Amino acid sequence: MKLEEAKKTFDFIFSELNKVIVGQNEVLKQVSVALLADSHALLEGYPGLAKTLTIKTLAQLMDLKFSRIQNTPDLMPSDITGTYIIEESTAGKRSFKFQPGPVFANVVLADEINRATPKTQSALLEAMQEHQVTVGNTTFKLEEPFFVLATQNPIEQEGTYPLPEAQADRFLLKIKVDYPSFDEEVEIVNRLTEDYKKAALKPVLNRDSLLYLQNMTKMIPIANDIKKYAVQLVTSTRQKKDLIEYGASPRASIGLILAAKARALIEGRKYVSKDDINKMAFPVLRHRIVLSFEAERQGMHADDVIKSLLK
Amino acid sequence: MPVKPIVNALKEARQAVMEIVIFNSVIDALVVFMLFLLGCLLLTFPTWYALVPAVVYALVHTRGNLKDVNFSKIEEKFPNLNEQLITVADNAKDQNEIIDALNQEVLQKMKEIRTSSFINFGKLTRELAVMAVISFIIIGSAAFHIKFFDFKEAVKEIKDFKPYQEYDVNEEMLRFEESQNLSEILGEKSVTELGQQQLDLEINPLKSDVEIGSVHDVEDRQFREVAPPEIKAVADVSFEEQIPKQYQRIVKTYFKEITKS
Repeated sequence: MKLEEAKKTFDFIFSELNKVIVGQNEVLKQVSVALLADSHALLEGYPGLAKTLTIKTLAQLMDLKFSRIQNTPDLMPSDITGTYIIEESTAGKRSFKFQPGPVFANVVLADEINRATPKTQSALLEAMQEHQVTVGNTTFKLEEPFFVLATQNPIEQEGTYPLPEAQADRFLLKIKVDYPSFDEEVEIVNRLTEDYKKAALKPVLNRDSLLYLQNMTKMIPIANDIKKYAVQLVTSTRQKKDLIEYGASPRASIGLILAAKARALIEGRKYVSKDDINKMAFPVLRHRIVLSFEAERQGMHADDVIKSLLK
Repeated sequence: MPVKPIVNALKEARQAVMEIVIFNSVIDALVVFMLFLLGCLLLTFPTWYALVPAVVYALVHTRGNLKDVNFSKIEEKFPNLNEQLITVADNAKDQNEIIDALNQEVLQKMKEIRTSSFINFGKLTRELAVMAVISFIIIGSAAFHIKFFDFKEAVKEIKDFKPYQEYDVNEEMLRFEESQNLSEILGEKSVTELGQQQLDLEINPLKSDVEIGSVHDVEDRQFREVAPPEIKAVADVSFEEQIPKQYQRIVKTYFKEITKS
């Protein structure tokens, strides 16, 4: 597949997604960036903004194994990873058999991840980092590609376990899902309150094509000065002590450049531009920096601080 | 391994930009040289003085300009190559299908690059006009011997101005002692004071060369205002500056004795 074909493929994916999701083009693009970068994304938004629907539809278009984990405070790690169950054969012989959990899929939707206990969160995060699951003494490799697309609600704080910064760092992107515009909301109302024919979606990408596109993403060249600009941006988060208490780690530098390459591929460009770095800086850095008291006192958000660092 | 066409193309582009930069620096240095040359001619400095600032300027200016020679200069002139040329240059050693495709694309766009795009014709025209004007001024000032300041004369005067040029004069000897004894200058007082006495002079004709009979009143004579050429004033040898050191004391003593007697 050539780069031009890759762009056409993604344009088609977005047009198919728009049959189900109204607006949210930037969210769709950023989720695609996470998939191409072979990493995970955390979607944060208020209830009812089609976060779950977006991920489900995307998985459907990519002909990938999809599973959903609805996180609740009583969810156990074995509910995610799977466990051994006793199975009785027809001959009456009993044996332990491993029953894989929902994590054994290509696209895992972890809904409301901040409602799960830290222990359950860590079980999922281990799978995210190492693409494998350990149950007892046995390690099971997860099938490639493997993505975790998690969602969380910013307003419900009671009974939640916010992801620690060290574990939020595992997500490549933290995608903010905003409210739709007025026209978009009218369109949503038209589709869901009237006799609107549900779009029949056909898979566009298969597993092998997606793996190939992930490989192609890494092939996109980047100029040295743009690479240095990206790294300098991340290091500046550690130096701006007046606004940032804890800056981003080198994982952010890797993620920023990968995300910029993925964005270039989606737009059909054979090179990474400075604009890619600037656009991807927000989803890559906003969950990796801890604002200082001074910044919070001034009412600044992570995005405001990141904006001040960009040149 | 054969060299990729893009590598050659990048080298050529960089070389072309470098040549233009050197050319611009040479023209700028020439203008500086001509300005200083004009200054040297008007102030009668040696003409080679103009070379020094021109050479220094040429070296500093060229060095500074060559530091700025990079692909971003080309991208500024050709926006359709924006960010692509530098990416290709930085990844020239790598190879994959995307880099190859990008190289082909950039190679195609580089065919539109013209060396003349990097020449600032406006600035070049202005500099050539300035050089032509300065040339005419130089020719004119040389033809009419226009000088604002004679450097050579000034240097000569400074050299001549030195008061103790060749001698180490002993200042002790030049010290003038003030004295109330005026007899050394005016002579013995007893001799000069005549008072109210009548002075009778008796001239012994046998001992005098004066013939009384031939003494007449002074005739009124008309003197020529212009001195005849055979007469000229010369300074007495004794008053020449070039008195050797070992004789200075003697000369001074001589004049001292004269005033006494």
